[in-house]
Amino acid sequence: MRGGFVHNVLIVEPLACSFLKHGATVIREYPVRLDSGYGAIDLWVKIRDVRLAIEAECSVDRIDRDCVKAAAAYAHELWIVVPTHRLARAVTRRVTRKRRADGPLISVFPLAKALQRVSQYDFLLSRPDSQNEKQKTMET
Amino acid sequence: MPREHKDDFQDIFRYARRHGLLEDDLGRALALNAQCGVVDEFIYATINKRVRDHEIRRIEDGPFEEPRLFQGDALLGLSPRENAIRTDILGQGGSHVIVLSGSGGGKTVLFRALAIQVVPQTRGAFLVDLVKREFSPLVPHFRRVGIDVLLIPGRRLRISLCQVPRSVDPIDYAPRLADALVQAFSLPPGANRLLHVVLIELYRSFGVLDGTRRYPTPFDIYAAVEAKTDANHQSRRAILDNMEPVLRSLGPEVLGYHEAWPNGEEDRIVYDFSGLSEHDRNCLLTARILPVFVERVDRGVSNASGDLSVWFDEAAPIVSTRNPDGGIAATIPYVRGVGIRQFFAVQTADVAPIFLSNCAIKICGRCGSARDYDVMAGAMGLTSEQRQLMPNLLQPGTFVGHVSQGPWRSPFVFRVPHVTLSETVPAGTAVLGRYEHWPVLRAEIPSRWDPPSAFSVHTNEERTDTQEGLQAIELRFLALIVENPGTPSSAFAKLLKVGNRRAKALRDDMVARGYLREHQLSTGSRGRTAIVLEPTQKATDALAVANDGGD
Repeated sequence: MRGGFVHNVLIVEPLACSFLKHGATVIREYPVRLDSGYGAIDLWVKIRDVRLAIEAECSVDRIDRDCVKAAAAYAHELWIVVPTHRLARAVTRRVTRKRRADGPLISVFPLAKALQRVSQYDFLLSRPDSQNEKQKTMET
Repeated sequence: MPREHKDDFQDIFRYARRHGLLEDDLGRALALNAQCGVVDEFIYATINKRVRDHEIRRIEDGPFEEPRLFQGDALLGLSPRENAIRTDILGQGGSHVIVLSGSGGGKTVLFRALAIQVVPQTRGAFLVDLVKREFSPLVPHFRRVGIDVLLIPGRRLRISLCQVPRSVDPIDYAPRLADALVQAFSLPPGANRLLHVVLIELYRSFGVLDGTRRYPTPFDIYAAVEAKTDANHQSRRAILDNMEPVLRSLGPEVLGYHEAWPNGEEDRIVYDFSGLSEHDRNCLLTARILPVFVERVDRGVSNASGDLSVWFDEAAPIVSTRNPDGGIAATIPYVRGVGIRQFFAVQTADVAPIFLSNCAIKICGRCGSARDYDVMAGAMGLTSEQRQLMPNLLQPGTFVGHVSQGPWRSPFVFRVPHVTLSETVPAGTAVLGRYEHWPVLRAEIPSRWDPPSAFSVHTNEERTDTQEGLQAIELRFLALIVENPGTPSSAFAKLLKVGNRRAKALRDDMVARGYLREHQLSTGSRGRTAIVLEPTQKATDALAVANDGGD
């Protein structure tokens, strides 16, 4: 897997293990076709009918590309997981400026909060109505 | 002849004869006449003039008279009147030489000047650099003038410490070797008895007493002493404790032979022992010099001319009063008669009396303390006036000498012209000559004596973790970090079972040395971050090496 110690060992692996415990389907380095070529989503999680794209970042540099990959993969949600709260605030500011109305729901978490969210599995029961309609449109 | 001249003629004549004023042809003729009772005005006037002139010269010369040493195989230097001073060193009347001079007094220049003259005249020579490499620069000079001189660094020697000289009975050699080892390893006096017994037993078990030439090694001595658990505890413990560093330092490469190089008394060799510890030097000296001395004495050589010169620069470790009896010091009264001439250069007067008594040629240069002047003044028989003049008279290159054999036995002053050597010899240079391919009988040495890898030299880029010598707690720390990725660093104090402060110090040290990297990570929901440690490749390699070593 690409990435360093923080990216792979501290962020991606704990999240993957946590999702697996809840019975989700987890794919590491999920390939995505983009206009400019191919990319890979760090963690692709599918539980029931909810699709999650999870990107681990240690800086604000690649946020734009993460949003594009998540949209291209038709993810319902994009989680950008960062090591610290401070970085989370910086990424949030960047994401707010770049947010698209028709893109996936973007959430920025520090690692601790992301792990906490995984444990609160009620968000996995159903997806928002807007996402349901979009999915129906795609399927037809 | 007037009566007053007749009265004082005897005193004048005695003075003239005592100071050698009648050595020429005319003087001898005058002396003959005087002895026959024929004394006229001419004889009186001539002898009286010589005496008066001499008295004037004495006043001009000061307390030190102009020496009349004109013959000998070595030129010591130049008198104040620029006369060459020569003395006999190698002849039957020759003697050992001791030079005492403080740092910068010129003793090395004097020593080199003597060595350049004496070494070509002897069949064999051992020039030993004990501390500094003073004789090594002479090697190119000797070779340029056709004198074949070898240069052997201490660690290039191949020694069989217990090798018995050819004409010596092993039973007789064992106690002398035991005494020499007591001095070489700074053992208590009682240890020589234990060593004596062990050596005899080893000679018997190796067949040396039956005539074989397969000798025990120092490692065999160590093992035999170690096995003698019923021996005197203090002696046994001292032997084991003092021998082990030398055996590890010199190792099987130098000491691990049943039979090794011959004693080399027919070669001219510069031994470069600079950089070796005191006990390493003593061990090598015992192995190289003691057999030569013992063999010559046992051969019955007596009153021989000097055909082997042994030179010790910075000889304080050998001549010191703190050395126990035995070894080289014990042989000095005997070796002059067997054709060995020893030369000692020291910086202080910490010289055992046996050396001052047996060195008939004593030379004193500029010293650093009044005590040094006092000791040498007493040994050379200086008058109080001469002793008082020494600190002001002696400058670098100027010496007071005393030759207690030969025609002139009064102290004298001389100077040595400064000689610079243009060539240098890099450290570690070896000229082994015929010893390079000398067949040796290598012994099987237990692997516990193999030199450890830590003794090999690496550049910083080549250093590995094992060579940095990680402590056990550091290895445990690294292992815990690898086993618990993402664990905040504060948790390791408990895992390691050390205090928080100690754990932090350990962490900081490992980070500074490149084994760990620190990362900030939020592990709680309240915005605070923790430090998480990442093991680097260096840490992974160190753990792998440690695990391999433990397997």
